[in-house]
Amino acid sequence: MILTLSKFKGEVAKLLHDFFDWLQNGWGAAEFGDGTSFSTRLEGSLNFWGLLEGTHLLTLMLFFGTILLVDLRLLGLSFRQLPVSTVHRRLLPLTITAMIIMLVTGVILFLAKPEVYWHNLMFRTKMVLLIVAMINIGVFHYVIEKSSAEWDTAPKTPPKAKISAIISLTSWILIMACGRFIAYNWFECGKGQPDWVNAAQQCDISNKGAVRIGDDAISGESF
Amino acid sequence: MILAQTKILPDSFQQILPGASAWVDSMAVDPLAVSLQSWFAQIEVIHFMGLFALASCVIMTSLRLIGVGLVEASPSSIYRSTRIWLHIGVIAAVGSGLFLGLSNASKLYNSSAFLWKMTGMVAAILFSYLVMAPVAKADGEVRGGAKIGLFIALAVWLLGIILMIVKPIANVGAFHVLYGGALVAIAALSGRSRWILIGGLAAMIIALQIATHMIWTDPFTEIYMTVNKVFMWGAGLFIAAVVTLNILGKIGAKDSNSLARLVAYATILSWVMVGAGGRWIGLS
Repeated sequence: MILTLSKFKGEVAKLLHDFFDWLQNGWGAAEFGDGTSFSTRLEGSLNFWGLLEGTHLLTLMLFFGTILLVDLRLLGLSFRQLPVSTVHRRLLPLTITAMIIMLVTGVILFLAKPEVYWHNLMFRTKMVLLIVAMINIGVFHYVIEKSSAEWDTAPKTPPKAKISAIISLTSWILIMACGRFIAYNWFECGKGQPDWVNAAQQCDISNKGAVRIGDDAISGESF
Repeated sequence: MILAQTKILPDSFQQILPGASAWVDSMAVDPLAVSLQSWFAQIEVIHFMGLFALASCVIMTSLRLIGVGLVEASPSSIYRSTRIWLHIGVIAAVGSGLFLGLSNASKLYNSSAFLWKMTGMVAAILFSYLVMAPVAKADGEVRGGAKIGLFIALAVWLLGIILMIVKPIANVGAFHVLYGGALVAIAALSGRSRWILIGGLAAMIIALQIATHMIWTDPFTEIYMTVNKVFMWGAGLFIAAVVTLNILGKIGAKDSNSLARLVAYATILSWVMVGAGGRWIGLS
């Protein structure tokens, strides 16, 4: 059973790698005379790439600026005279607008180098943290907020709301930091990396392969 | 364009401070500057966090001055509740920016985007502390001191905008200021005027995509550049017209006055310009 599950996970990982590899190097290549894919053209575009990246980053000003104040209210550190529901109702449309723009620009940015990003430790950490942040939003909305009538207008909120705010702030700060670190090649597959990094990034199935620190290039199968 | 061709405006700090070139060159081998390079990414994160933190104060206070956002609280109480983040954000962004600058001095010294980013930053700090803060404290009333501050900050910001739009490649950063203006206007407007703005912009973007992806697809041709410029100017004028109508009180204005709305738009967009500058330093 364990072997079957392990094999299944390996197959899924290979399938995902192949898909992102096709997105990066194959998608649209037949349509252009020089054989460059959509991803290559996107990354090499004169201004579009910079506009996308800049928009993604600048929208974070709106997103983080609003979420910071919502979380500070939950922590009882800001707008204590206003009900939590009022702060949510007024700021949430701004946060959601920013989030939609960030998601759209983020997905397009990912399309520029999907195979490289997929095997990037910082990208994977960012995705895990995004899931944590989303689960936290879900828990707050469907569990913690259910009892909000008891503390909505109180300057101090219950510990469960405070914990949710701390998880939210921490995860978004780390998501932002990881997003920035994706651009750096500290953990690039094909360069000498500790075993755990090669494993976490699944470098063995990446186009550049897995290289153990101090070793020469090792093929995927032999690693 | 004429200003750029006649060289009235400087291209970079290299032209303004030519005597500093020896010091800038020495930074390439300065032990502190070299050691900072290995921490560039981490310092960059602090730089961004500073910008995001100050945005919470600038955006919420400015939106309230426009008459939207947290309307249950007065502009003065919003500013009092959030000003700590303005102070922390400015200190973090400027402080980390100094370290980033030391580690990358030669590039910044010769960068046109860095020149308009710095001009925008001076304007943004003037707007935030000399104009937005006193106007918010007075719950939207723009008094004598704030009017003088507004005049000075607008003059500096206008210079920054001119520096931005006359420099090739870096002038694409103007898109971010336009996009920021559109977002603020969408928040400020309601009903039909909001949908006219969203619909108008969507139509222009779709037209641009059709023109540059189906008709004129080579980005290195004159016609391709012209189509992009037409879009930029068309979208820019459209957004500027909507924002002006909102500031003048013709559309969507509520619970505020024209000068306070001008202060609000200018403060937000000057900080957007600062953020955009950082992105275009790397590309221009």
